[in-house]
Amino acid sequence: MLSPLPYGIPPPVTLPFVDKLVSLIRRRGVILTLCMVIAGSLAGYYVVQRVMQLDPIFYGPDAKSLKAFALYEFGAYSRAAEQYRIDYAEYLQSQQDVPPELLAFLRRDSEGASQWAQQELTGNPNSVEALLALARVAYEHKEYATAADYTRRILTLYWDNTDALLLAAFIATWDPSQGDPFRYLDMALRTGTAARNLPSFIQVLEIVSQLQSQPRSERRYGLLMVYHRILMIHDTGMANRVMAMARRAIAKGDHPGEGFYGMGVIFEKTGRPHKALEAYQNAVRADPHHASAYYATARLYSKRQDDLHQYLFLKEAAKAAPADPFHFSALYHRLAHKQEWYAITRFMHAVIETDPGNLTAHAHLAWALETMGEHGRSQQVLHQILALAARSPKELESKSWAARRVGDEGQGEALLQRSILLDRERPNPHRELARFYKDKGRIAEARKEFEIAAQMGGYDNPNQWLGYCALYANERPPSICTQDKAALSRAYGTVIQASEP
Amino acid sequence: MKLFNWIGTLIPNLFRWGIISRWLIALCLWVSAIQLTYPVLSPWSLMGTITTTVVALCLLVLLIRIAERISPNRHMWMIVRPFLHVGDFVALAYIVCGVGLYLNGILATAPPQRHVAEVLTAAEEPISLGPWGPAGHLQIMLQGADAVPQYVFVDDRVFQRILPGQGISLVIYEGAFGVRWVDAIVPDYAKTLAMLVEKGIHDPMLRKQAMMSDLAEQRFEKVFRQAQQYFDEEPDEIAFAMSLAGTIGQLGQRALAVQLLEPMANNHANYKLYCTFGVLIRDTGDVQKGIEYLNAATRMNPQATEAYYLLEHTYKQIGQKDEAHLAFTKLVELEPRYHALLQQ
Repeated sequence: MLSPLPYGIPPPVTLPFVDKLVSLIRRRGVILTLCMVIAGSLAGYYVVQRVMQLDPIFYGPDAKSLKAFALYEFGAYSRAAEQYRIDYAEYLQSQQDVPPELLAFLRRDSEGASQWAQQELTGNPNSVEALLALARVAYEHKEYATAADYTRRILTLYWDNTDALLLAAFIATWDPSQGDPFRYLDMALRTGTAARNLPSFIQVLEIVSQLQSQPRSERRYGLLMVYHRILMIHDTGMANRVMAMARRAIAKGDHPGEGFYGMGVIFEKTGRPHKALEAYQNAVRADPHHASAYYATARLYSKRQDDLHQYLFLKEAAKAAPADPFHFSALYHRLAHKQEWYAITRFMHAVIETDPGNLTAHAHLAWALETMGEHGRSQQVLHQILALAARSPKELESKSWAARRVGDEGQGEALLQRSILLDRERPNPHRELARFYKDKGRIAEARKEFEIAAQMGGYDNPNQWLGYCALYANERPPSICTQDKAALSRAYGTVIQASEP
Repeated sequence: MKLFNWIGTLIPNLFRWGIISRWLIALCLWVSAIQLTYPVLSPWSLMGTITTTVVALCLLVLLIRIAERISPNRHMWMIVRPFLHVGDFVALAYIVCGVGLYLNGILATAPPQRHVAEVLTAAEEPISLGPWGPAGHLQIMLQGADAVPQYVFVDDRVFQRILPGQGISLVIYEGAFGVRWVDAIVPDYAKTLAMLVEKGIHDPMLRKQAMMSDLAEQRFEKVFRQAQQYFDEEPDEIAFAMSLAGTIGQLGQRALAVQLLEPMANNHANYKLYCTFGVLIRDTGDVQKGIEYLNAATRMNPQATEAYYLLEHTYKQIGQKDEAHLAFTKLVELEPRYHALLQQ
C-alpha cells in the first residue's frame, strides 16, 4: 500500500493490478524465488550460448587469459590484445619448436624479429615468413611504405597469401596510397583461411580498437564491418555487430556495396538464403564490379543444385574481375565438371587477353586443349607457361606440370621443390613429387614424399594411396596403408565393394 | 430450432466456464498442423501472419485464464475479460475456416495435377513458428494458367531449397469446396532452363543445354536446325558436335549424326574428332572411310592410344587380321597393360 503524502497531495494513480502484484511479491517469497530461478536460467543459457560461439583462442594458453577475455567481452579490444600478447608469449617461451618470429612479434621485439628475418633471407631470399616478419616490424613502427614494399614482394611470390593480404589491408587502412584495403580484405576472406593464426588475430583486435576509437562522425563503418567479419571467424557472436556496422556503412554511403555484401554473408551463415540473395543483389546494384557478390550468389544457387544459375553468376563474377584467378578458376572448375572444354578455351583466351602473364589461365587453357584433342595447340601453350613467372605455390605446381608434359622433368622436380619452400603446409607438391618419384622408380624418395603428403591429409581416396602402399614390401608402411577394411568402407563403401571378390 | 436454442445457450456458458479456451488452443494447433502440411495455394499473402497471430492469441488467452484461476484476487482479472471473449471468438472463427479447409481436402475427388511454375519472389514470414509453421511464401507464375501471380506458403525445408528465378514443379490438388492446395514442391531443371532461354539470355551453354533437352525428347529435326545455326556461330565447338552426334547416333539416327559432324571433320584436323567421326561413319556402313579417318588420327598424334584401339577393332570386324594385329601391337607399345591380351 502506498503511504499518504504530506500537504494533502493526492497519491499517484496506479493500476490496481500493479499494486496487487507488488504486494504479492512482498508477501510471497516463493514468487521472488521463481523469478530468480527464471533469471538465473536465462543467464545460464546466455553463458552456454556465448561459450559455444567462441574459439578456444580467446581463453588463451591453458585457459589462463581470462583477464584478456574479460577485456574483450567489455569491448576493450586494444587492452585485450596487449594481454593476449603477454599471456601467449609467457606460455610459448617455455615450449619447444616455437617459431622465433612469433615470439618476437608477441613481445614486440622488433630488433629480434628483424635479425631473424635477415638471417632467414640470406638462406632463402624468397622466405615468406621472413618477409612477413619484416613487414610486421615496419607496420608496428608505422613505416607504412616500407611495410607495403615487403607485402608487395610476398604477393608477387604468393598472390593469395592470407597473412600478407591481411597485413596489406592493415597498411592500406592507415595509408590509402598503398592500395585499397577492401580489395585485400576481400581476397583474404574468400579463401576461408584468413586470420586463423595468432598474429593476425591480435592485429585484427588492435585495428578494430583503433578504428572504433575514431569520432563517430569520422568512423569508417565499412572497414569496421569487414574487420568484424574477420573477428567472426573466432567469435560467431559478432554477427549482430557486423550487421549493425553494415547498416551504418550503408546509411553513411561508406562502401555500400561492401555493406550489403557483408549483410548477405551473415544472412547466408545464419540460414536465411533469401535475405542473403537480396543483399547480394543490392551489393551488385551498388557496385556492379563486386565479383564476390556474384560469386556468393552463384554459391547460393549451387547449394540448391541449380547449376544453370550457378554458371551464369560465376560468369558474371569472372566478367567483373577478369584477371582474378579465384573467379575464373571457379568458372573453370564448373565448366570442367560439365566437360565444357571449348567454353573453357574461350574464357581462358579472354582472361589471357586481359592479363597475358596469367599462368593459371594458361594452365587451364592447356589442359582444356589437351582434353579436346588439340595436342599441338596444347603443347604451344605449355611452352608459353614455362616462360611465365609463377605467382603462387599453386602456379609453381602448374608450371611443374607443364615442364613434365613437355619432357623437362628436371625443371618439373625443381619447381615442385620451390613450391614446398614457399608454403610448407600444402600437401599437393609432396603428392605430385611422390607420383613423380614413383614413376621414375626412385622408391625411397617416393615413400618419403608419400608419407609427408599422407601426414598432411593430402589423399582423400584409397585409389590415390593404395599404389604407394605396395612400395613397402619389407618395411612397415605408414598407418594410412594399414587401416582396417571397416574403417575404409565407412568412408569409401563403393571402392571396397568394387575391389572385393 | 431446438438445436439452435441449445447451441445459443451452450456457447456463452462454455465461454463463461473457461472451457472453450483450452479446446480452442488444441483445435487451433491441430488445424494449423493440417493446413501447414498442405500449404494453401492462395493469393492471400497474410495467411502466415494470421496463423501466427491466432495461435499466439490462443496461448495468451490460456495464460490469462490460468492466471485468473490461481490468482488470490480473481476480481482484478475482470478488466481483461472482454478481450478474452474477443480472443475466443477470433479463434473460433479460425477453427471453422480450418475445419472447412480440412473437409475441403478430404472430400476432394479430382486427381492431383503436376504443374511447373516460375518463382518470381520469395519472402520470409515475419514470425517463425519452427518446423510446423510456414517459413515463407513464394510468389509463383504457373505455366499454362492465367498470367496472374499466385502465392504458396511453404515450410522451412522447401523454402530453404528454392530461390527466386528458379523453375519449380508442384502437385496441385483441387479441393471439394474449390480451395486448392499444393504438395511436392521441388526445383525443376527443365523449367529453369526454359525460363532462362525465354528471357533471351544468349549464352552458348544454355543453348546447348536446350538442344540436349530437346534431344532427350527425340525432336531430331528441331535439334538439327538449332545445331546447324549454332555451329555457324561457333564453328570450333568440336566437343559439343561430337557429343551431339554421338547421342543422335545412339538414338538410331546415324545418318543425321554423320550429316552434322561431316562439315566439322572436313574443316578441323582434330584427333578426337577423327576418332569419333571414323567410328560413326564406320557404323553407317562406310568402313573404308572410317578406317581412313582413324589412320589420319594416328598420324596426327602417334602417341595416343584411342585410334589404334579403334583401328584394331575395325580391322577385326572386317576380317583383316594382319592389320588388326599391327594396330594392337602399336597399342601395346604405348599401353603395356594390354600385353596379356596380345599374348591371347
